[in-house]
Amino acid sequence: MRQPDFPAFLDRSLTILRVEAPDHHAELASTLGRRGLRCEVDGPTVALRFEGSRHALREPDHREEMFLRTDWTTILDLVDGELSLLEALLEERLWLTGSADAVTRFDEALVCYLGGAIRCPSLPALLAELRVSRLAAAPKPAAEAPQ
Amino acid sequence: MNLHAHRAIDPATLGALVLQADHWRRSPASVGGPAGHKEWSHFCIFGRDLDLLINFSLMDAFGAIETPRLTVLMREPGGDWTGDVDAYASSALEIDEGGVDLRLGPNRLRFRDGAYELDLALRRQALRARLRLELASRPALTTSVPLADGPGMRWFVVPRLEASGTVVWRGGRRELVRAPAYHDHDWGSFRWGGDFSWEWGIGLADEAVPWTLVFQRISDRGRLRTLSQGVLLWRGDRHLRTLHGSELSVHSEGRTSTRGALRVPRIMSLVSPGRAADLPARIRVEARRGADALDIEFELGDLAQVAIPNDVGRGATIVSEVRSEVRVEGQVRGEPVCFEGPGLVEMNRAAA
Repeated sequence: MRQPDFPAFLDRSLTILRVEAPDHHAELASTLGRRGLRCEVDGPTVALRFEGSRHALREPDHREEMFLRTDWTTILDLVDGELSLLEALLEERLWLTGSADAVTRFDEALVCYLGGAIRCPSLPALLAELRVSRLAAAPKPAAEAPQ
Repeated sequence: MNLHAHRAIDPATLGALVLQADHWRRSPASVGGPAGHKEWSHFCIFGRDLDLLINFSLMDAFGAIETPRLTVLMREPGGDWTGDVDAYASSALEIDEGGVDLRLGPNRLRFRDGAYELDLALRRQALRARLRLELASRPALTTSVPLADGPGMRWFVVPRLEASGTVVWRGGRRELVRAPAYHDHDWGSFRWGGDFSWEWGIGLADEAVPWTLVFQRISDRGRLRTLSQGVLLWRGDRHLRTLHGSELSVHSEGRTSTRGALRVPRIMSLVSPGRAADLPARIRVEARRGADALDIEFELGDLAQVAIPNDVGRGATIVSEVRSEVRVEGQVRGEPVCFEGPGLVEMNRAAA
């Protein structure tokens, strides 16, 4: 099953954030800066950094200060309120690695990202698109055997 | 219970009153004026097998004008809540200019033949409803309700209607037959997260005399200063008395837990996970003017919460919708008032 492309989703959502919630985007840039967050969602990995006020998604060089690993099911369960962040961590559906300072910084960045995302008029459409692509990627039920 | 027996005014006249006052005001920003407009059309239905809260809203926020949303909350008799907030693109919104009617994607609000007609289908919850709410009381239009840092809100209310129709939830079909219901329409300009909070409660007697009571109190955000407060009482279709300001003494007691309460839109549990809230278990209101006296008690029960990102700062305003039982005793205009019934208390609390 081919999952939606996380780097593309992250890039589009951050671009929307920069246009529709610029204060949140600027705060995110200040919080994360060039420290680097390596993300692995259902396989592919990508590193997020801010270069000045612009975000950049690159191949990881494994010098990132934070590493996040999870999957789309967990992300959507979090978005749908089926799961809290703490539950996701305790149930080992979401891993976060880094120093205590880096983890605290990640939490601040996540709160900032989400706070901006819910204020962006275009984000619900992006999320809806994501759900549709997830449905399209889901395995089809097996065809009935001929009688 | 048939409320028609208590009507002293014909349905056509009631309908004309609604058409005069219950129209969508729209954001001034849509024609080049200032942004900040908030407007919603709100319905509460108290059925035997379920309660429903339905809210169509248009709000200017974060650079967007008139973002349309449908909020539906459904409560089952055991206290389980479900529902959601569905936001739509502006292109999905059709409004009958100067009228009540609104279409939002597949959802529809209409006023026809003296009744509100609602067709609803939530996107991600298997909840659909087709309802007709007949007027059972005269509407009222209030003066401006001041908020701390804005010009205030206007408020149109039909305190008593009778709701009939069908609700389908997870494939199960439920019928509503002349269930007591309430409607209001609010509009004005303010900023979520500003220096205000409100407590608002309704009680609808399900008895021989269909009393309807509305209580409202606007305070500053810290609830140290009351800006306005009032109680409105209807007997059948007629407004009987309003008591307000210093005529009211309001006391809150105990604490209602928000543990496990549904919060919509669901993403707000992630964005604003805090559960601490100073919601009382009981609100008592003593209202006195001359020989008129009302002792009102709202006993608060289970709840659901609607979370709204603040316009001011980074936090959210949590609006708690608390199913309540209301008890009222007293005397107004020489007539004894004594009833109990289902009620709802709404409290808004802004968090930084």
